[in-house]
Amino acid sequence: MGVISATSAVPAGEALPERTFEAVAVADARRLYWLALSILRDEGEAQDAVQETLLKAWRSWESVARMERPVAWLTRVCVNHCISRRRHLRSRGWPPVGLIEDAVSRGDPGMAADHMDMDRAYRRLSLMQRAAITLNYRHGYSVEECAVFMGCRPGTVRAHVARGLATLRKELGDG
Amino acid sequence: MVEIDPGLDTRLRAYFDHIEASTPPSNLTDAEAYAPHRRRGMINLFAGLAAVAVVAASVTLFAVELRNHHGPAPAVTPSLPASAALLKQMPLMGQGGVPGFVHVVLPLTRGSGSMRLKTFVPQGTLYLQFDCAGPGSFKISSTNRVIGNDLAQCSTSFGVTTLTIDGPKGYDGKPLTLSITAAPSMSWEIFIAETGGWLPPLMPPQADYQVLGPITDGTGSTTLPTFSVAPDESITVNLFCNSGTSGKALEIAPNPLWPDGQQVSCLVFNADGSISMDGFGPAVSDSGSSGLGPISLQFTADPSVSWEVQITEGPTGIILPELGNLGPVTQDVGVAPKAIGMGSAVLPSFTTNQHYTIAFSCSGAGSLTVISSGVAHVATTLCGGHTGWFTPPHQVPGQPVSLSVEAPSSVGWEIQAVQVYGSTWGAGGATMPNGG
Repeated sequence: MGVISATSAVPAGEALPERTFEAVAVADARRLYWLALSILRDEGEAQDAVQETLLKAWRSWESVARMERPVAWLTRVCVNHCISRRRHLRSRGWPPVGLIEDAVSRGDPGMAADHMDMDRAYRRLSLMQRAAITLNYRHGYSVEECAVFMGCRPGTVRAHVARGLATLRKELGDG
Repeated sequence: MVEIDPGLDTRLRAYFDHIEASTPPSNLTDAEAYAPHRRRGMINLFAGLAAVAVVAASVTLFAVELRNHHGPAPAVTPSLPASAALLKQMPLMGQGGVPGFVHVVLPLTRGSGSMRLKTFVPQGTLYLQFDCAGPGSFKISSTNRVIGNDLAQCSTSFGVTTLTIDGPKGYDGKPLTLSITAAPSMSWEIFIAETGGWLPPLMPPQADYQVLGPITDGTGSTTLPTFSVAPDESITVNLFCNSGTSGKALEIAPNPLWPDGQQVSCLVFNADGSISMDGFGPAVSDSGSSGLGPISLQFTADPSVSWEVQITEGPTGIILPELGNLGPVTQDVGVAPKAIGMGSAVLPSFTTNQHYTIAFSCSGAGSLTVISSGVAHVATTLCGGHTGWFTPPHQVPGQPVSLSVEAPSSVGWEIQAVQVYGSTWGAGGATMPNGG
């Protein structure tokens, strides 16, 4: 017999507890911001990525709240936005070269010399490599989870992590 | 987690610590900030919110479907016994009942006595919801004995019952015929739904989007017709797949759009009525300056996986220029709310004591003209993701400024008046570059 459960009905429309937009999505904004900032390395774009993610979540909260893991959905949307957004901006020739050079020359006044070396090396990584390292190394997601977030196969995630770390070693003179 | 040598581990950890030491802007943690406003700086007016549109449409359609479940009168045999008045309201959707995201196999049907119901091939998890009233026994059974529920007596206090039958082992994809066995004086109602085969509805494309691949649905592996994407266009692939309860994925082979291929996680219907949608949704990309193609998407999936896809191309997102370091301002300080729209429109007037310039972006085929207090400025004759700014002359502090836009309906735009830095009022007091 295939019947696995028989339940007495509960009135429809009963809300899931603590699944409000504020309790889930907005509370996760800080983590999403750091995730986006780690991938994009631009505060303005990271802010846009998080706002875009939360805007999507807010507009479709009725369905997002029903998900088993809404935070995973937020992560996926944010990562996808970071990757595709950056590609879009580059293809449009934005920001202008002058702005990039100006920003690089100014640097981050709060950044120590060691961090500057790492920052320069890290910016050499592709967005996919940054996303893979950030998700897998920093945020502790499994390779399989990273694959879902990034829309690729687990083997591709492993390759991005390995190549990204190899690039860092090379750029930092450790390799 | 990844194995990493201690030296790099220490430096990388410190680097991420440094990144995460930065405080997110306060507006990100303020829920009120998201509801009425758009995000800062950039919009992808047409393509970027496709995901939202599709999900919103899904929710809307779900709501419509839900209303339909409750709204129309159920299928009823011409004359029901008096016990029919004791039947409860059905179907009950949501927690403890039937999940909202389901494919209806048998709409709410009322009857009395014994009856043979429709024959169908179940897909995914099957939900049988029923109620009965009247004296005697009530039995639901299926031809291959997959389903069997036998009530010795219908009780008006028991209420609606929902049976959840997991697949595919339960019915092995074979046709299933349900039968109800009951006394003639007994009334009953039944509603049957399944998770398999359900896919969210796809929205029709925007007016200025071109359909490269029409809405196509299917099951298992396939190769879609070849298409190409023009230069500087945004391509949107709306793809959903449903594997019932098995949680399978659909693989897209490497192609010019996704050189590494793509793995799409299918919708998963959980036993508790929730739905897992990790990885679903549209993918938006940019064709670049040389275009893309020819592209032929090749899907690899289990035959039990159903899918639907639609491919469109349209104008890329438009970016309101950040004028800092470029134009007459050092920071984008708006003196009026940002306005976003398509075609011609009259925007709300604003009043400011600041000298201002007007930043704009537009996208689509056609010209954009911005009219400020009766002075027209042809921003661009061809909006191909064009951005720029202009500073209206004869500005008077504190005087309301009217603003309107003239453009074909296919042209999208974003406009904002921003404060000019370091300029003074009056003739010759300010440098007034024109970025348009």
